[in-house]
Amino acid sequence: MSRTVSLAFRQALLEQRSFWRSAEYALFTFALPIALLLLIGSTTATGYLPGTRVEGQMIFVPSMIAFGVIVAAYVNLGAKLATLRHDGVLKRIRTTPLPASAYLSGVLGSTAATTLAITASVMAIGALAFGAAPRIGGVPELAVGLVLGVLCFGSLGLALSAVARSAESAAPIANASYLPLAIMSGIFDPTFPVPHWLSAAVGLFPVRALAQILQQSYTPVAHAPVTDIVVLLAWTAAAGAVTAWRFRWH
Amino acid sequence: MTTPALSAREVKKVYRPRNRPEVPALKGVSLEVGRGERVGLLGRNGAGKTTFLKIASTLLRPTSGEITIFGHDVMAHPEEVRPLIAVVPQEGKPFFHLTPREQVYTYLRTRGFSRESARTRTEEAIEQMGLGEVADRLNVTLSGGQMQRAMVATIIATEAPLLFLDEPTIGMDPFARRGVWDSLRRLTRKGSTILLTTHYLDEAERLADRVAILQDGRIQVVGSVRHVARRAGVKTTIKFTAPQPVLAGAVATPAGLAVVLRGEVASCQTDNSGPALRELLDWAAANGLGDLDDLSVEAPTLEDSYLQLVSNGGPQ
Ligand SMILES: Nc1ncnc2c1ncn2[C@@H]1O[C@H](COP(=O)(O)OP(=O)(O)O)[C@@H](O)[C@H]1O
Ligand SMILES: [Mg+2]
Repeated sequence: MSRTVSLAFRQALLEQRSFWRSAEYALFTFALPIALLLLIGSTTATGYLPGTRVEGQMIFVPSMIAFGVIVAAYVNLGAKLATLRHDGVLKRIRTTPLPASAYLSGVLGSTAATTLAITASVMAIGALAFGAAPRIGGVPELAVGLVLGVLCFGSLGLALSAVARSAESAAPIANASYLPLAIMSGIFDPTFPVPHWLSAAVGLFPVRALAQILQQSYTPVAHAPVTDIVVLLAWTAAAGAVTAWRFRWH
Repeated sequence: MTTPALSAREVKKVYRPRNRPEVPALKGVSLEVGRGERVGLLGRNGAGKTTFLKIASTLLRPTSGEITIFGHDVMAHPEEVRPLIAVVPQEGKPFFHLTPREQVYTYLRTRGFSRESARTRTEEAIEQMGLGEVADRLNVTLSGGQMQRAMVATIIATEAPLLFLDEPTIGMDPFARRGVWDSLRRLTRKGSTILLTTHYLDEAERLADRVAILQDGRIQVVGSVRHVARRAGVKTTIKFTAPQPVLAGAVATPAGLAVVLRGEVASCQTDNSGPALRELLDWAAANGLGDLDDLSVEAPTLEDSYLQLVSNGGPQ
């Protein structure tokens, strides 16, 4: 057991080394949420949301944190594993004594580290540029949101790489699956109008769930995010099952 | 009796792609590879070589059949097999953002070697594969042949008991190929067993103790290169420069040897070169032709035998 953990840890370090060495990959992974934060934030996200006493940036900044988690853990991880499979890297790993669980945990661990770094930058810029910082009492929500967010979207990334039939298709599938949800969930614009039934449907997906948990850590907008936590856990379980069932190494 | 390194019995594999016809890739492959042997698996593109290696290396489940590695059942206990094998997959790529030195080292560490021994083995493998000059460049910047050398270095460094190499020298220059051959020979001297595929028949000829030819989903011939040549029935060719009297038609060629003239080159084919040579030289002496110029005996190469054996399969 402890050997598996140490192997996973070593794998995570290795992945991190590769990530930071690939300068453009790292740069643009960070650039996307930060650029959107600055661009959208500076035009729309300030002032009170209509009909409330909630400042727009207190919703928008945590939404961008959620966006960063989704891009790093779901889109990039899914596409990356599909590429590694295509390049025959995964099959080489599979024929070694390295347990599958150690490899995949290592990859997830590295993704978690990257996600934390992105979150820290988005939070820092959100605080400096828009004066939005988490509330003192919101730390538990922040921690729960980040842990569940990385687990859920990381598992979805693994599942995505498992169902994508080719390396090229992983990124389009990822984008087509989360972007519409992100827009409908009000990630980019909390006032985005959606009909009631659609809003209810969107609530079943993990994008808004994660955003809402993180929003709670900035401003207590609603009920305690129990439903959102359940939604994330349910998607984590489903993604884990799909991964276990369909993940291929070659 | 020691268990063989690899023993496959009636291994079958049918690929069933969605919405496409089934592909019966292996129709019953039986092969035994003894400890310390170097065996070359030959066959045309699509013959099923990669499929067989994937099954043997725990990547792919066969449709039916049995396969054991040092007595361990590959399907039932892959986790017992993996520490015993090391694989150079076909067209495998290294980790792009590691250097060859880091790649070999981290791979060895992953397999459980101590820091000290991983470091020594890494340096040896880098040296043997002639990667010294590029050992600290990122893999992504290496040429195709250099990447392939890094892949092979990674695997030979393990000195695993059984190595599978799927077209390991593809894209390598002749020096690098010889480096691979030397390393593989050295490994078998230390006790490793090797099963490799290649399309370079000179490689199989120089490297493999035995070759197995895979065709139509089965192993058609297996044995030493000589054995395969005999099975193929390719004849030995004797050539010499036709002396002037023969060219002029003044002296007839020996009746027992169907000698063919092409320009001034005379040639004949035989199953048994000894008696044929004697007959030829007796004939030359009897007709006062002296020593035959440029006399040569060309034993069939593996390539000749191979082409002969698989040619009836038609283009695939
Ligand atoms: N994943 C797959 N799905 C369907 N057919 C496959 C698959 N992989 C290989 N094949 C087919 O199986 C046959 C054997 O392939 P392969 O083992 O790669 O041959 P070789 O390595 O000897 O060139 C080929 O006809 C190939 O098209
Ligand atoms: Mg092949």
